[in-house]
Amino acid sequence: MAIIGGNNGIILTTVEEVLSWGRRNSLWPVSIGLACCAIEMMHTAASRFDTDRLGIIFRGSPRQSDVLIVAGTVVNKVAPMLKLIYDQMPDPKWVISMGGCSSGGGPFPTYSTLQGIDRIIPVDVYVPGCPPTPQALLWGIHQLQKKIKARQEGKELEEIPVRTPTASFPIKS
Amino acid sequence: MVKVKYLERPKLSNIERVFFADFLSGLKVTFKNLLRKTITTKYPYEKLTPPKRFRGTHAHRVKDGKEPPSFVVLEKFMEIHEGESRCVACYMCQQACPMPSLFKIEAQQLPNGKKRVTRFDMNLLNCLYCGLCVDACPVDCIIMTDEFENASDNRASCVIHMNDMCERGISFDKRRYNEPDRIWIDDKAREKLWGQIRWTYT
Amino acid sequence: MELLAVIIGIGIKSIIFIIGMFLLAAYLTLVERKFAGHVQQRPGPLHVGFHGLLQPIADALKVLTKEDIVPNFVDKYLFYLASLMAFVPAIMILAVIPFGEPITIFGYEVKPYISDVNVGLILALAFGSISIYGVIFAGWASNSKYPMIGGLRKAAVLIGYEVALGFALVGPIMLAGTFSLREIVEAQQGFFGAFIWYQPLAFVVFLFSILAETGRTPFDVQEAEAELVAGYNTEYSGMKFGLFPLAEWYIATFVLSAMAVILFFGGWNGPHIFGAVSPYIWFMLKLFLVFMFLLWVHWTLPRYRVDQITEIAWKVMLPLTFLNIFITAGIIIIKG
Repeated sequence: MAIIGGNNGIILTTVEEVLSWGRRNSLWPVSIGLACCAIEMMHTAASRFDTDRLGIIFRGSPRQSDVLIVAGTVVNKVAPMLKLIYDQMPDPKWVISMGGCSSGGGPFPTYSTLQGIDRIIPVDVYVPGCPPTPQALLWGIHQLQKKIKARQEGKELEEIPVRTPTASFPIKS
Repeated sequence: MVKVKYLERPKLSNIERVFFADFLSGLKVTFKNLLRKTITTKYPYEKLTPPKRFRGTHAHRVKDGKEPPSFVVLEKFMEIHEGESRCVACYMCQQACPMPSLFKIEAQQLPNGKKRVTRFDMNLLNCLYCGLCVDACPVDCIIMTDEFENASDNRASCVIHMNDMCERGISFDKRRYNEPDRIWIDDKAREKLWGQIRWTYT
Repeated sequence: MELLAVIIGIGIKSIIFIIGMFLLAAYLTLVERKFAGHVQQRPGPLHVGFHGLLQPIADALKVLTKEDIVPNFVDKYLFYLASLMAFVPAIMILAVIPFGEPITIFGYEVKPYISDVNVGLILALAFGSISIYGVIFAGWASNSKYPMIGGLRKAAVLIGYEVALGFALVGPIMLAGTFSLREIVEAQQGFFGAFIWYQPLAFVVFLFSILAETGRTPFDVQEAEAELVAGYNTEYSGMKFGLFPLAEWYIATFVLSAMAVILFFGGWNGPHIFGAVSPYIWFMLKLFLVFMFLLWVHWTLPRYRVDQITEIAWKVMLPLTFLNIFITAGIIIIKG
């Protein structure tokens, strides 16, 4: 339970543990459903794979929500509005970037598409897929819950080690 | 011309209006659904197995003796050992892809005249998961597996490289190579699902 | 000395009622989510506690510790006042509702209500009317389009249905002959003494007025998510936001269905099969049945348009209540 030691002592760390338990088990997204990934998000909220089991209710207004799930292609005209919505959310807030288009531009390398929303807002979890199946999105939400827990304990999320793109096999000469 | 059929909203009789007949039948439907079992798959605790042809993350098959005949033809020009990826760096997958710039394929010519693939990266954030690269590969090297759980914290781990693609290919083949490539178990089950196939010619 | 004892007694009862109401309202959110889920063939909250029992606690913890944003362009006094004005009158109605017969604990006679005023029904109606101000203030103070439209729509709906509610209650009052809620329950004895057999019209009008007052579908125009972003509480965050649905959807529904049980279903009358506390158990049982019925209607019907709602209030509900009053008065005069 409580971590003895550290800088905060027993009582404050227990309070923080309880609060972070509360925050990870009742994440309320504001759903920015822009394109095809929005349909998959609706599938995730429907009866077959339910998001309400994990405590997730989709709220309409950004001022009442915790998580911003960006689902769909973000074009350059929409980008300032997305930043405005992100700024209107109260702290603590997280961002899940769902699908290829919002994570990295997707299949649209054009002049009018924003190549990844992490050019304008900080992103916590990227869910690749085109569109990601509802199970993949639920896995992404699960990763976000693990990340909230790890941040509270002072650790970073255990990252998959980054592989630098060098030659894959040694060249035998 | 298409024949259009116009339907009118059914008019309620006065008795039905006073006693809320349609409202009550709506309530009955909802109540019946209340008593039914839930149809949810409770995801992180109950996982469904995708079909064998599911288009998930990509993988490379390795040289293990099950290659198609086209590989035997090309093998003379390549330096590929047992257990390494079958890729012949023909760039057909990149040509077939709707988004070619997600592939980064490099190959080198060795001093003994043979070719060796040094780099094969795919940026999965730009991928459409259409499967055209799988259709285009001449040696049945690149395949799509049934893994989809790869949400991560940073963009760099959504770029896959040849070594982890080979590992994924080996584990996919070990798990599911011998499964028949269809969704029904046998012909009886298929008939029950889809009915008998009637041929138009006799 | 007597005065001090009375004040202490009332103080303790008020604290128990308020804390109990908060906990009950939190768990009523869970009941609603499970019910809504099973109607749609999915489970509601499932993994948080055992079948979701800790979900309201997680929600409450999260809502309490959110950052509280007050935008720059709002009307500051009304903004702060609005959530209180929506919440406090709903709890105040609890002061006049009796929950059962007096019982004796340790030799003291404990009356299960805070006060038994002899105009209890009028007080309850008056408190309900004050809670309209909360919504209107919220809509007006958030200085932007969608909340204002939501607030004004709700005001239009509520004006019509408050009038219909007032007139619908005249029927049971005539039959019972008194305004005090406890005496209305005592005037309904036995299974066939409950007023619903004698006042079906008034019951139907009362039910629709509850749905309209607490803002549930089919009358929930103030929070129509597809039309107005989140209605009148768009600009609220944190606990100020948390109080709005708590007050409107849960506390007000609970309290108004308690009034429906008292006025039409005979309150706490029932066969004494549970021993000494059986009036309380019967009351709670009937209350939950009425609450479930309201939830059931909420999750079945789609939303009406605003003009259809006000049309129904003034053209259908009000004449029905007049008809009810004439018929009841006629029968009372004939029967002497």
